[in-house]
Amino acid sequence: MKRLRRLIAVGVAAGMLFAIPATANAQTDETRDATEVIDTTDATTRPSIDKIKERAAAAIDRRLATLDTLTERVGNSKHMTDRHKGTLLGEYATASFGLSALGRDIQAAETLEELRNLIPAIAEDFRIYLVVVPKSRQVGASDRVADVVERLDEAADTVAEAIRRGEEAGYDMSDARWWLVSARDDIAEARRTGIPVADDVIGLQASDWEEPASSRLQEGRRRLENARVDVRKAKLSLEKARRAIEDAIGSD
Amino acid sequence: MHSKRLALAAGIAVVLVACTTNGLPASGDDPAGNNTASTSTTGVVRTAGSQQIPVTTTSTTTTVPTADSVAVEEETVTTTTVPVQASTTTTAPGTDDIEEILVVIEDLLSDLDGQLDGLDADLAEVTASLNADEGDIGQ
Repeated sequence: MKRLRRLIAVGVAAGMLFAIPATANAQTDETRDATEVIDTTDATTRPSIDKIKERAAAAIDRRLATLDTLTERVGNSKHMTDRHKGTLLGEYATASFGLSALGRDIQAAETLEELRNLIPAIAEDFRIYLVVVPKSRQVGASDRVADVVERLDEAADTVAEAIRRGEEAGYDMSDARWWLVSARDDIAEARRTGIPVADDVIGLQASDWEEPASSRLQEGRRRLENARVDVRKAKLSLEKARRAIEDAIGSD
Repeated sequence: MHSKRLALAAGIAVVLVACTTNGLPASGDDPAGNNTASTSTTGVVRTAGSQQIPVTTTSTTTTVPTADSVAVEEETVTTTTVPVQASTTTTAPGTDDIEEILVVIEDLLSDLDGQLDGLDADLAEVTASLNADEGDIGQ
């Protein structure tokens, strides 16, 4: 009896080990998710067509809400260039129109076969979460890097002017000049790595998933992280240059 | 007496010449009794630091009448006066203007703090967006 109980316990545990990964995979494979709405249920538990349509409508509504949020954020962005804004806002409008039309087609479908053909398009034809949202985030971050770099340039130019005047007055500005050169190098690196990301990813479309979209978005994130480090280093160097000028002229 | 008239005439002539050059003269006798005439002009000079410093240039012509001859000695001295307040920047920039620039730098760097915090938030969203999926369909 004890042996039988032990066998049952082992069997249940083994069953859970297989079941958990299957659940996780189901959440990351949008195509299978879409078809599972219809296929993973047997005849006795198969959801009605109305239930499938309801779920599809919820999926579409969620994407439309996401597009509305993106539209508001991009439209109000103080950092994004007008060109990037125009491109993204146009794409959001097109996607919203397409999703709405798809939703109407799904609601008009009368057979499971029709739904089987239409529902995967919610994800595959628009890639709101795998392409549109990530690239929008990267365009925004990249344009902010451009804004920060411009401000750093202005601060560096002002530091250079203070150094020049200090040298004219006969003060030793060698430390300040060293920090200024360091800041200029970091600013240049941030400009080189971070600013081009926006143009690298903004053209990605739903059809680019999984490649080249996935690789390019990963590369964009890496470059933006590097740019963030560079602009922080540049700011720190400018602060040190400022303190070096203070020390040189004996200011408090 | 004749020589005094000649000397006076010569002095007037010098003053008239001074009048035609620059501005109105401030004429009179100096402590030694010489006849003087001054003209002043104002202008600016540009320093190496691209600063414009107002200056006043004064030309003073002194006529020295002699007692026993018609000879007149003339001496013209030109001096340039820099206002005391501006004189600190006439030679080389002092620390005042540099300190003003340092304040500007501090403001620029302070403004950057907000931008860098915003960039941190942007990057957090970038990372989160790459972990998203489209798996809500069917859930």
